[in-house]
Amino acid sequence: MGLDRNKHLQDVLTTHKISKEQALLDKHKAKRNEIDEALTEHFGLNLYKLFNSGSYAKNTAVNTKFDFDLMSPFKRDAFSTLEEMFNAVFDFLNEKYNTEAVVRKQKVSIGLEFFQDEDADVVKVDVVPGRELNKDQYKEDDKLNLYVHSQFGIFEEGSDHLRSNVKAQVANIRSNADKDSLRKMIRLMKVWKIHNHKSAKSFFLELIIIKAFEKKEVTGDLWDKLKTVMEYIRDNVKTVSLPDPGNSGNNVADSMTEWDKNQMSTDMDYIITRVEDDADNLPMYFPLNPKFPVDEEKNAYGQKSPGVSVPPPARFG
Amino acid sequence: MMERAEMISGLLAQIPDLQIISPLEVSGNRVTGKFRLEVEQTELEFTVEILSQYPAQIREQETIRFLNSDLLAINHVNHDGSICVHSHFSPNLADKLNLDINALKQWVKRYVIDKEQDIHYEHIVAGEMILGEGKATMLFTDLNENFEGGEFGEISFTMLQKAKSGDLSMETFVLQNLKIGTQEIECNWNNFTKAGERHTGIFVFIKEPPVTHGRFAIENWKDLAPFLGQDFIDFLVEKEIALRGKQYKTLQLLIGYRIPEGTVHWQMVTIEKKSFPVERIRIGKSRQYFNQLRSQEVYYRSTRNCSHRYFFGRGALDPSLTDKKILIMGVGALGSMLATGLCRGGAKKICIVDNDVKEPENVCRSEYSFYQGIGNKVDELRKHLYTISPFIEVDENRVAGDLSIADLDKETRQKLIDYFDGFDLVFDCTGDNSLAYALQSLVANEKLVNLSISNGAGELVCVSGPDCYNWILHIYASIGENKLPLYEPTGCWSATFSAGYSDISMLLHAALREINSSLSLSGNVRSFYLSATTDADTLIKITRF
Repeated sequence: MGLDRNKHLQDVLTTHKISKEQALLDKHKAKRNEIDEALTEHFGLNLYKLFNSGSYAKNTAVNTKFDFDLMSPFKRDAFSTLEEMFNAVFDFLNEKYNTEAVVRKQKVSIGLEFFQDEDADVVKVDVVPGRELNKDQYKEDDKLNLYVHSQFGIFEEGSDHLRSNVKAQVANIRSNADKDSLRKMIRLMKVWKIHNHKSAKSFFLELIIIKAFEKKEVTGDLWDKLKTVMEYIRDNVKTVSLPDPGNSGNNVADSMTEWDKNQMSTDMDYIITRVEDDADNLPMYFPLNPKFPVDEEKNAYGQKSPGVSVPPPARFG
Repeated sequence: MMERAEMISGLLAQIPDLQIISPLEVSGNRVTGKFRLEVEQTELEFTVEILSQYPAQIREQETIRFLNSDLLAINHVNHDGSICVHSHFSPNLADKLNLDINALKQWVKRYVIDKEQDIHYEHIVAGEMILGEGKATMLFTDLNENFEGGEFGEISFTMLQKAKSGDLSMETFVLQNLKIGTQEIECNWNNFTKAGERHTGIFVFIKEPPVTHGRFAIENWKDLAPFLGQDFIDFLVEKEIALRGKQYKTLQLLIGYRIPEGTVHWQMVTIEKKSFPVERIRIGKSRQYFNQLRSQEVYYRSTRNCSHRYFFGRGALDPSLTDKKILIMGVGALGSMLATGLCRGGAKKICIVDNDVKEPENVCRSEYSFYQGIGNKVDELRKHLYTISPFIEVDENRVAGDLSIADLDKETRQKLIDYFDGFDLVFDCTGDNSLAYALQSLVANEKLVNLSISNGAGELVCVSGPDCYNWILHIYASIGENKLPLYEPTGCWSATFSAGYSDISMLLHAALREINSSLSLSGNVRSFYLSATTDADTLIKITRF
């Protein structure tokens, strides 16, 4: 008997729930709060209230790879240039944390990867500095200019900045009418992306899945919905325009190369074909998190646990 | 034969726009005559020669010739005035005559009336002199030098092979380097091709090809003088004097020039010691001399441009594959065929890993030969690859295949990670599950490609990317149990899979084609498996993941 696709996908979601990693989640929250306080104390009145962005804030995180994004909205007068702002935040965090974390400049953020603790856990927090467009305007429009440090899609290093309304990006999913299904699809596609080492950016995946929900009737059981989303990606990824909800002038589709888009379309095509051929192919693309196995009773439909108890095949060279 | 002459006359007379002006006569094994042909008000006269074998071809050569030596300046006219036309074969004399005259009319229209210039370049037409025992050819490749014209100096070359070309002997030389003053310019062959005893010759690079009518090589040394320049003629005289006391029969000269696309081409000329084509002439009664070329025949020999672009010009794999530094682990049936396929496709850097020794029974389904006897597979395969391509660099390693994840300490593990990191693509063709498991944590997943075949060569499985080992298990599980018995000629210690060369190579080359296509389209290798089928209209089925 073949695999029950819906049950498997539900188990994928369950085993990848971020709450399964409560201890690690708590460590992340504690570090994030500590960084928040340190930045607030150091930059004082130059800084508006920091807030969470990223997948945790959007409720689209999975537990195999998660980090926290901390938006740091600076006032217009705090720095004369965005580069100065970016470097000042980096210098402060590097000075404070370099003995306990790797602190590095990333595309629009400063990444802090704390050394393994006694439980072998690694906490990662990305601090994203942004500056309001004009004096006191942030209170009105939530808009921020981000400094682009290294190549980020169509922007070259140091050559431009990115204007964004990060609060709007977060709200984009939170306020979606079908947010529950949407989040499930985003989480499933993230599992696929992480497990298969795909280059697509999470933000890109989120936006194209939201677009699929806008353009298609995403209904039925979990597999039906996932299939509809993948069909949409397969047919549209090469041509779709994905305006950033935080800045409609920024087309997030430009952050993927033509090659990557072609590959993503082909990936979707083969996944659908293979899973329709044989449901047992589904776990190869959307695996359970082996760290949190579903209990035996739930696993009664005979799904193979990856990598164990399977006799190796007689293969030859 | 007279009847044949009359029959051909009759057939020619029926062709429109053609008028016989000298009746066809029998001469030896051929019929010859003359006719006038009109194409768009242009009238031209041609001598026609038809061999007794006509309308058949001899060694793919036409057995009819049309000649007019007044047309030497026109494209596709040979040195003897014969027009280079080809037409389709027909066993029917009348049909073939019509086809050939039509081909001649088309040539008149394109090259005489429309003065069409071909896009592709044709090398200059030079005779191929047979000296002593026979023929000689110089193989050359690109040289990293921007020649301007006027450069000359010494060359060194090696003898690659002495073989037969028809009934004549053929010496194949390989150009190795050029010396301009103290500067040495090396040919970019691999080290294997660079090895061997070096012989010395000379070269001159000139601005224009040494031709008349745009393509016929100048046949007399005296007429070459304006092309070669006095400096080179003086150098030639010095060379003759320097070599006078030396034991040698011939000196090879390469004349280089640029062809229209900018590529450098070399024409070889052999100079015999007994007839060195230079002389010193005294100026009046003074003590001064000037050097000049003698009036004597130029002995042209053949050359071949073997640069990577030409050598693999007829068909190569995509540069996204051939430009990679490739490691092949396991060079049994699959690995040796893969290495050979990559080599013939233009691969430049391959490292082969295997600790196995080739046995005679390996020969029937791999790229090894009986002639090489028993020895390390990597040693024999390396030699084999070197005999195929003068551009491939082959490294070998007999121990890296002895991997087991269990006994890897941290330091060894890091060394292996660094070792594999030195390659762009790692093929595991061992069929070893333990190694497959170990490699997925030692090789970056986008570089790792696992190839294996099922017993009986029913399926070839290619897995690449993350989670490689589980994918292998999964795909083989979905293929199902293989119930064919293994080949066990002398008991279970020597059990192996059962399959022949054509079955394995069919799947391997189909897999190589898929890998090549996948890399060129998306930059990485996608997992798939191939199944040999017995379906009515499908030989191989592919399942892509």
